[in-house]
Amino acid sequence: MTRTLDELRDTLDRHAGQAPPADITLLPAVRGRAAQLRRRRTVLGGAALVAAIAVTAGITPLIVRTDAPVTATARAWSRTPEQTSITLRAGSPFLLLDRKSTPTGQFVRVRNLQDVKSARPGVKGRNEGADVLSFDPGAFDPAELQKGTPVTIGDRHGWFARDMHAGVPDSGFDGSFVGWRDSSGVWVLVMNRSAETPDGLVEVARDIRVVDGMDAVSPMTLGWVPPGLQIYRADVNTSRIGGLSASFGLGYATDRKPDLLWFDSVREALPFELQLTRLAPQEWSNYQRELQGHPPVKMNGADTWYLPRPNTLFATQGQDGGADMVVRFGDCMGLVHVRDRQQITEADLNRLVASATFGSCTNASGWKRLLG
Amino acid sequence: MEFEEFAASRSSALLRYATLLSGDREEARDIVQEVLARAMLKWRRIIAGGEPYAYVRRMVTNEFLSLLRRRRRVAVVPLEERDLDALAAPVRHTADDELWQVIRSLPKQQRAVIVLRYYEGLSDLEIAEVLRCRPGTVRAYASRALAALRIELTEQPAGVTPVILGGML
Repeated sequence: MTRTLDELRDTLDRHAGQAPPADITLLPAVRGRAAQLRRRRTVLGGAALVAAIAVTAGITPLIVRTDAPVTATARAWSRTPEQTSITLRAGSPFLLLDRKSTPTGQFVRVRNLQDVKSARPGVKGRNEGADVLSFDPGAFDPAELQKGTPVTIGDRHGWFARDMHAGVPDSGFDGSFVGWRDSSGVWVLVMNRSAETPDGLVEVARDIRVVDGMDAVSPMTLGWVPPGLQIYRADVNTSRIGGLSASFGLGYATDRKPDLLWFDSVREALPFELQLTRLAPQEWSNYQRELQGHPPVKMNGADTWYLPRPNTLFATQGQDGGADMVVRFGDCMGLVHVRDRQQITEADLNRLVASATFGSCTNASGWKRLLG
Repeated sequence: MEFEEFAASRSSALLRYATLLSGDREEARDIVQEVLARAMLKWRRIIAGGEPYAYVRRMVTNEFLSLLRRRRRVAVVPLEERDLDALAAPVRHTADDELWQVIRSLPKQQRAVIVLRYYEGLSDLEIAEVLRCRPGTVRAYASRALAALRIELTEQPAGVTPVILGGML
């Protein structure tokens, strides 16, 4: 039996009407809870102060220790903007999902393996995981974090801070954090938007490892790109249960380097963007409707549609000088976005597709570096 | 706008939204109460952003999606007589019960997308900003949810512009 959108809207409207009333007891309850939260913050802040005093006095070096500055003992470490270097210890109950990297930072989602496998995640008492940020040496100011409560993470020492913001303004990284400086000099922050205590975050943090950079991989490998283009952003998910996808932002040396953001806004578009996902029939139907009447151009075994802007699929205000290309190959769909079609032309995109090697979007085992 | 003014004017809308997300009146009240308490503590920062309702709605969404969320009912909330009446009322089986049950069984993210799209009337780009994900992810959630709900698509989603269908990064 199929249903219509009107039926769906009617059902939502009817059940919204069953919401509890916003009666006179709500605001007093809110004030009461706010007071409780404020008291808790005061207690935690006081604990941090006591700990800091103890450290200064050298009383409890085993319980609290400020993070030592990076010294000659810091291990050599490096990565490129397309590489991620966050991983989990072997045997961890958590799983890495998305891995995003920029020239100065990384973002990965760590989720409980049992939740990811389950159709009904969220068993009470189970640690759901956390989001993990890392900032390359020199790219993070730890002052705000270090005002928090000192915590011990295995053999490392860090801090727990609530209501903190990390990254550039409007990065979207707000909430509670457990953070520390790795021996590589990288700052690692484990984040949950509403954690009131550090316990769950510390549990995740204990399993985090910082390793040397690992290349982002892709189901599409490009044998040629316009000269000068480099990868400045990569966001890859190679977990089949988490959904396979890869996206990349490429720019020139003179372009402003992308910041680490939770949500990559179109306002931050780089000269060349590529998004690769599994070709889901339902999702493809969105494109199919818009592409009707535009026969594909066959290139290198792929169906391609070149769409100068403005076009009905990707028209973006203020970006009429750009162009887009839909590439369908095997079980994959690729979306190419070019900021300036005079700079990266249709001929460039044709050459790029002609030189590409295509893999699977339902199995990431054969994925390779984007730039072959 | 003062916090009290905001709470008085927008609490009903937030409670309706939270009820659709959680599928449970009591949990909806818990969520809204908790979120408003936290919003109260950082109201200046919220109001400085210029869109307090959007901000607080995002907080409600995050609270709902947080698997760590526990029931945190505050003891000072009295159980009103009309709540007891509602509990005692006979269960009414309406024509949309079956559809509602399927909505409630959707994974949380998919349910949030459906409610934001078809009840709050947000575009996929706006939903992506609420959920902090890509528009393409929103579309994927919506596709899966609509398939599970067996909804026949006869129109474009509300507020969806061509660029959003395109799923620009």
